[in-house]
Amino acid sequence: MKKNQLLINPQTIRKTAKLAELNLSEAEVKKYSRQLGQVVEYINQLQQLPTDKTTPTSQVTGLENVFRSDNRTETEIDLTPPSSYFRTKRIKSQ
Amino acid sequence: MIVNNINSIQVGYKSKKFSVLEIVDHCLDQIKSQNPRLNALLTVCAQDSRKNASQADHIISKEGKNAFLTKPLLGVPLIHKDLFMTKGIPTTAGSKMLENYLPPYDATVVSRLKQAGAITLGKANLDAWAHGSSGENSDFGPTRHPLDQTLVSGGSSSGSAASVAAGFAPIATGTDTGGSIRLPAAFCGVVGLKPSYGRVSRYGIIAMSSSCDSIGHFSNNVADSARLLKITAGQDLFDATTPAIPVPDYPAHLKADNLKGIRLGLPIEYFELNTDKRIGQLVKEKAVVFQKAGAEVVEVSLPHTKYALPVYYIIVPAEVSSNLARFDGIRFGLNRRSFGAEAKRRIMLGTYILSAGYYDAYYLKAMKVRTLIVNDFKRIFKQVSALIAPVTPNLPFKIGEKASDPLSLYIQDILTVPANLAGLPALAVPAGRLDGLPVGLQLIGPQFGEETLFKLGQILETNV
Repeated sequence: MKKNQLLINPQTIRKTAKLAELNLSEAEVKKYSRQLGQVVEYINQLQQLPTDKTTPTSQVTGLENVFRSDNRTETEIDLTPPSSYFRTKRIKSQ
Repeated sequence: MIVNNINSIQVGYKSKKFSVLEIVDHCLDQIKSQNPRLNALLTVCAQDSRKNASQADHIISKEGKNAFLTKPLLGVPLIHKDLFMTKGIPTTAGSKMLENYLPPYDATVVSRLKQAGAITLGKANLDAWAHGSSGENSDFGPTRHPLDQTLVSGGSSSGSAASVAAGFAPIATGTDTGGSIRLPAAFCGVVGLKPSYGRVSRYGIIAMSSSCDSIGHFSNNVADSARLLKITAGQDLFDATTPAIPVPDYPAHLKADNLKGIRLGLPIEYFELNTDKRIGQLVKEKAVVFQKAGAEVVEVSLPHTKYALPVYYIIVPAEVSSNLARFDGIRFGLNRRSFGAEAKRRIMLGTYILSAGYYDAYYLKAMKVRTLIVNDFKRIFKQVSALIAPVTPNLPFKIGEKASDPLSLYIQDILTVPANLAGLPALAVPAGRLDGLPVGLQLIGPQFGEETLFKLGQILETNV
């Protein structure tokens, strides 16, 4: 892995902000470059642990494929469309 | 008027010493006089709670003591963290983005507590989206410590803890993803329960980190904590992570005559990571209480403890960035520009961690180290019934003291995150004071082992 100081540069921050659909000011770009760099440096300490033979944990309940019985219940959410719709401004620029 | 616990309130109702309306008015008076100073509540439901109080009085006058059999929390005032959906009552998540959001339904926990007869007094302040350890990240201003306005109350369930400590209500709900119940409970000197992951339904509670979020509560004593869990715990068909494991009668298990044959562990790493050594010292002194009750207390080691925080700050921001993606300005609230600084920081961090090229190095690595942390606990709980540790690395600090350095705030969670990563129950119980400020003792148990924690917590409580 490359040095973090290089990884979390303003360019990376701008690219990440675009992926996250966040509009950051130049001041924010500068601030987050520094702060996220510190956090990434901190979390990098995990690299020193050997985990080649370790299986990942994504959840702790051990439950799999939880289904309910295929019966309608009284509490079923009403999916009838609302009687009126509304318009919003354009959300995403092209 | 003693209104700080469920039992004394209900004894008063049963003996006609006071009415529900009188108790609710008393709480509303406390809120009115102290909330401007503490900023613990964002919404106060004065009218509705008075109406519900009169209804409860009516039920009691009609049914007498029997009313409490079907409604175990009848007439008990309650405050919800403003992350819990409450039908028709504003739910902001502490963020300006949802300032005007009115939920169309109640969270499962909210409806279960309502069903049990509890009366919602209001909604508590919190770090926006539950992101924080101090309460300072709220878009509506920080919650102030009930004992000293210049100090933080701890977070993220800041207003819930401060409300119970200040006597606004005997009980309050909270969420704990990395310490957000235990930390403010310890700072404010109240009892805070983080149940096992999956024990209490997450349905209707605004999600932070879906693999770590745990739904719990605050109270002034351990018995109330047990009573509440009996109501909130159990399978919910709206949350597929709640297993069909029967809910024990927690309050019935409280009376432990002695702890003979029980072995408890002091995890050495927790005392090393604790920065104010006086806290660790106080916790160790209090552990003698369990020895006197017949338990054996031994030092144990959980070698991967120090990696829990870096794992947490990979997994949680990753899940945060995904959960907050739904706030696109179309379905709920304002647009993404209205996220506060900490929410943006976590979304950015999570998005970076999950982006192409970094997933294996960060997210996959963190999931693997999470396994090592889980295995540490599995091994240790074959040797001991529960662990005794500090809750916080230091005492409550000044508002603004750590604001410019996010990492120093993240480190506040260092002793609480391991239980979240492993899905274990943990209870914060007041253990005494240092410099006049409360100190908490943390009891961590095996998965779904809440009964043991209540039993131990009550022994500690009666001996502090």
